[in-house]
Amino acid sequence: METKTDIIDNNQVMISPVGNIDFSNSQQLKDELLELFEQDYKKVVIDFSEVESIDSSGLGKLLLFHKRLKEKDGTLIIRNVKSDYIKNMFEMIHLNKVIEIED
Amino acid sequence: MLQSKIELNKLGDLPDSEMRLSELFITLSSALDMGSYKLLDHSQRVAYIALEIAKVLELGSEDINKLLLAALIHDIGIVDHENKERAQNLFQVELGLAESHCKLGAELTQKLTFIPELAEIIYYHHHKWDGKNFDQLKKNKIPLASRIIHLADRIEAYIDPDVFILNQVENIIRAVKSKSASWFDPELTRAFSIIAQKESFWLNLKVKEYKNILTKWGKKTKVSINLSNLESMASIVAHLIDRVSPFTSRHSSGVATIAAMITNELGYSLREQRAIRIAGLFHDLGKLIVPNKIIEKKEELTTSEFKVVKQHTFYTYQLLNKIKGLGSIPEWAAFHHERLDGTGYPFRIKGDGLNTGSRIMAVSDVFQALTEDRPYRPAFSISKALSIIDEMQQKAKLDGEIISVLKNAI
Repeated sequence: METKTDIIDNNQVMISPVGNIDFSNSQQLKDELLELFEQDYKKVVIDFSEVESIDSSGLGKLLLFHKRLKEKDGTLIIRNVKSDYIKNMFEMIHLNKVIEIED
Repeated sequence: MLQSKIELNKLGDLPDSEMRLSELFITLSSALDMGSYKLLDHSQRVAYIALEIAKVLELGSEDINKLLLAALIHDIGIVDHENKERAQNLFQVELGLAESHCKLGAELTQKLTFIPELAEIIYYHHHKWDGKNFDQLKKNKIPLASRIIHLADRIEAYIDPDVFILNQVENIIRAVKSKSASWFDPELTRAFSIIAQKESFWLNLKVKEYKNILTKWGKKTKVSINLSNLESMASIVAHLIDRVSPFTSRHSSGVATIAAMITNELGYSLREQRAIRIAGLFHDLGKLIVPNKIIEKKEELTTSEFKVVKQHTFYTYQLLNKIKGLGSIPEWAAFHHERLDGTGYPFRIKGDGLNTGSRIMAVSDVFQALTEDRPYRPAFSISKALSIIDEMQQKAKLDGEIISVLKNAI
């Protein structure tokens, strides 16, 4: 999985994964997120516009990262979910009530 | 730990591909009516009354199925016990309450895409025949099933559980007649007057014979149910449990997400991951019996309050186990407070009786619970939560391998 990182300002950063987030690469995504966490960004945005699918290992990592960030009063935001399948999944398991999902 | 190795390769069983819709919906209706003595079986009783009306009208079996499934969950949009009692103990329901719970109920049941008709039936179940309704729809434009449920629901609300039922019949007949053609479809009130003459109709309500009658009806409701259908049911259940309190509003979601992640990372199939997630969404079903004032209590619970809370997993099991064909989902969902050393509750099962699915759920539940705010304490940090979990592992309560999968994901 390819990801692009855009630093918005001292506080904010956006990461844009491409393709499928699954067992084979969710650990890598987690590591990249943790790196940003170490750099003290308070607001981490994950741009989902080029994410085609996400499996339970990926969803779990997002939730766990959200917990980490919240501990430091930060926020995780998921933006631009294009796939209806992913949107439905977030709603079905009510993750949209846990993690902020923006259009 | 020897115990953690015995069953480690056995997650448990996947659900069957066919189930009885009646069983799924009766379980959901029991959950809705739990927690208040006054509401005992309201939804099942309404379904039974609706069935008797439908028989007089000679409805076909497909229509009867939809009618009864909707009747069983018609009050799914009511938020709390207080409002439930208000809706179910007064003959005349306030317009605002009628409107809000009909709309919310329809919104929730819309997610059950495998029975698309339910949402519409539930939306209109408080609509009055003469059209004094929130959207002016009236008479035959209101779906027949909604009109039947409206009448059945009001009849059930009129029955006083503390008075001998046959002494109430005349009053109920009079009350229904007085609202014929204003609240109720006159054709339905005529059908009701035929049924109301039979003592057996009332006695079936008194001695709970309606349960057997609904079971008999349910035998014909076996259909193919896939995991996606089942997950949409579980999603509604999680919504119902979690909306009780802001403190629990993310709990089911968190447990389901973490448990499915661990299942994935242990190498189980997509179907298995999804089945575990469904069990996670269902796991606190029995919490619906715990009064809100205990769930929201700001101080530490008293011993006797804690006993009330501890019942919840028993009820989760009892409710889910009534649905044939769920595979290991009832166990996965209900054994999350069991501990490998046998000190958990309420079944006190030891490690050799806890399959991998149940062990995953226990670890996920503990982690999620520790890392969320509770009315009596703020959330623990992740590292504090993990050290508590480590301690539990050292005391042989939780599965070490599953804990290391979780840690690796954090």
